[in-house]
Amino acid sequence: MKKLLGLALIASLALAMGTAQATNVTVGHVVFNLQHQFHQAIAKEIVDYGKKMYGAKVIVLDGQGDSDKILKAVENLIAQKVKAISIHSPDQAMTLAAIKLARAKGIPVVTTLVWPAEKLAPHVQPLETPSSFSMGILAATKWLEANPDKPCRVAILDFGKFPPVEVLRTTPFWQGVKSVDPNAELVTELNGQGDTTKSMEITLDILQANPEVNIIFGANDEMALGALAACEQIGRGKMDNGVALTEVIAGLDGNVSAMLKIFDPNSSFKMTHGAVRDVARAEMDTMIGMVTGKIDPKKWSETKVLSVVTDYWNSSIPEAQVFLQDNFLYKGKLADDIAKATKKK
Amino acid sequence: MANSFSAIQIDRQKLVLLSILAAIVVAMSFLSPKFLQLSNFQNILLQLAPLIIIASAANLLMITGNFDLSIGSVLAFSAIMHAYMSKLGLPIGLSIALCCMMAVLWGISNGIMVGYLNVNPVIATMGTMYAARGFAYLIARWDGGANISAGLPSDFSDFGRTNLFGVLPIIIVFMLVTVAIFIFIEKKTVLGRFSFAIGGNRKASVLSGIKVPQMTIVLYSLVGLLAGFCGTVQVSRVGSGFPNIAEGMEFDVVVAIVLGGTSMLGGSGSTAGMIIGALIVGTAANGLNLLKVPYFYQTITKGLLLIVAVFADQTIRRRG
Repeated sequence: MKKLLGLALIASLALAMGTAQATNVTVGHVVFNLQHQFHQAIAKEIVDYGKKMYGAKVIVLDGQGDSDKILKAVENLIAQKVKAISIHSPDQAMTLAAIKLARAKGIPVVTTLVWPAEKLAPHVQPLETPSSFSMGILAATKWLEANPDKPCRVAILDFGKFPPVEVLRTTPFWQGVKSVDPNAELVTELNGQGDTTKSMEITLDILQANPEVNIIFGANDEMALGALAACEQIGRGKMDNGVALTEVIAGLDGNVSAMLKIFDPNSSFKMTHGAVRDVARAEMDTMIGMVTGKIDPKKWSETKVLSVVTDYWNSSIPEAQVFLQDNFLYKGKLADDIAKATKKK
Repeated sequence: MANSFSAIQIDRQKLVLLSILAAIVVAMSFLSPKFLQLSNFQNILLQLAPLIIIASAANLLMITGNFDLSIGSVLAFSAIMHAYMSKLGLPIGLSIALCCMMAVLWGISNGIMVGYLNVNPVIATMGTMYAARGFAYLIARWDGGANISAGLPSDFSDFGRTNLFGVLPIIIVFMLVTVAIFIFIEKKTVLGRFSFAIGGNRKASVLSGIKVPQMTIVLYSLVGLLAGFCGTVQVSRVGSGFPNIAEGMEFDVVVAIVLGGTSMLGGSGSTAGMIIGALIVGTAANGLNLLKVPYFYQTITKGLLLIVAVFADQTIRRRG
C-alpha cells in the first residue's frame, strides 16, 4: 500500500513538474501607457492570470504612450530572452517593426486592439465596433424620447482622427445615432487627447460655438468625464432620473469613474463599454499558445472579445459592480460610492 | 533719461503684443460668429485662469533669471493629494490648506537647491518635476487605481465650480486677485524691485546687500503655493483626481511669459505683458476650437505665434 502511495506521489510530482516545464515561462507585456486605468488593469490581469493558469512570469514594461519607448521596451524584452511578447500600441508601423524585430530573434508577438500595419501575427480584438454602434442608437433614442422636437446634434472627442479609433469607436457611434435620427448632425469632432482636463477645456469651446449639441461621445472615459465637467460648469450635464434634459454623454472603457456618473440618475453621462479581463486573458492564452506551438505565430489570427456595454437604463448597479471587480480590480461597494458621490436634488 | 527710454521700449513691446492680440480677435470675430460674445471671453478666461495665476509668480521668478519646470507636477501632486485627503474625510478647506502648504515645501526645496546650493534651475526643478509627478501617481496607486474618483464626497466639486454672484466663476476671481497682488508686488514692493535687480545683475545685487538666496526661496515658494492652490481648484472643477493633470503646463507658462516680453535671462518683464501673452495663446486656441480646426494645426499655430512674438520683441530690442 505504501509503495502504491509512493508511486502515486512520484507520478503526480512528475506530472506537476512536467506541466510546469511546459508552461513555466517568462513572457513580456508592453503596456501602451500605465497612466490609464484600462492599461493598469490589463497588465495586472495578465500577470495574475498568467501565474495562476500557466505558472508564467510576466515582465510588464510601460510604453508611456510613446512609440519610441514602446519599441525600446520590446528591445529590452528581447534582450531578456522572454518566450513571447504582447504589445498594445496605437502606432501601427512601429508595432510592425517590433514584431519583425522580435521575430528575428525567434520571439513571437501578439498585438491587441490596434492591429499592425501588416496583418502577420495573432491579434486580440475587443469587439468595440458593434458596442459603439449600439451606444449611438441608445444615446439618440434616449435623447429623442425626452426631446422629440430637437434633432440629435453630436460632438465627438477623439484621439486626433486616428484611423483605428474611427473604425472601432467614433464612426460606429455616429452611425448608430444616424440610424435612429436621419436628421442628426455631426457638429464637430475634436481631439480631446484622451485627457480629462483638456477635454473639459475643449468641450467648453465646443458648447460655446455649438450650444445646440445634445449628444457627446468621448472616445475614452477620461474624455467623457472632461466633457461632463465642462457641461456641469455651465449649468448643463443634467438628467432628471434618467430623462435627458441637456445632453446625453457616452464614454468608453467602463472604468470606476465612469460608473459613478452613469448610475447617478441626474448626471448626463449615461453609457460606456469596455473589456479588460477577457482581453488580458486572450493575450496570455495566445502567448502560451504560440510558445507551446498550438498557435502559429507567423499567421494572422483574430481572437474576438466582447466589449460589454453598461448604461443607466439597461444595466444594474450589481452588474456594474461585478464588471468593475472582474475588469478594474475594484474592491469598493459601488452602490455606496455612488450614494456618496451623488448630490441630493 | 535711460528710464524713460526703457519705459518707451517696454510700451512698444506691449503695443506689438496688443496688436497681435487685436489681430487675432478681429480675425476670429469675422471667422466665427460665436467668438465675439461675452460668454466666450468668460470661457477664455476660465481656461486661462490657472495658467495666469501660476504665471504671475513664475513671471517674477523669471525676471530674477530663474525658472520652474516643476509647476505642472506640483499642481498634479496637490490635486491628487486634495482628492486623497478629501476621500479620507478631511474637511475640504483643511485639505486645500494642507495641499497648499505641501506645495510650498516643494517650492522651498526648489529655492534651496537653486538659491543656496547653486544647482542649475533647469536641473533642480526638473528633478522636482519628476519627483512630484511620481508621487502623484504613487498616491493614486495607494488609493488603488490610476486616479481617485470613487469615494469622494458629493461636495468635492463645489469649490472649483462656485460662481460669484451666480455668474463669475470663482477661479476667474482668484485670477483677478492674484494678478492685482502681483502687479502691486512688481511695482511697489521690495520683492519686486529686488527681483529686477537680481535678474539684471546678480553679482551686483549680492554686493549691494540683497539676500539673493532668500529672495529666490520666497519666489519659488510663491510659485509652489499658487501651483498647489490651482491644483486643488482644478481637481475640484474636474470632479476627480487624475495624476496626469497639467502635464506640460510648465511649457504653457513659459510660453505665456516669454510671449509677454519677459527675458529668459532675467532683468526685464511685467505681469501685464505675461497676461497679454497668455491671452494671445488662449484666444488663438479658443478661436481655432470654435472653427473646428484640428489639434495639430493648433500646435503649429502656437509655435508660430511664439516665434513671431519673440522675433518682433528681439527686433524692437535691437532697434531700441
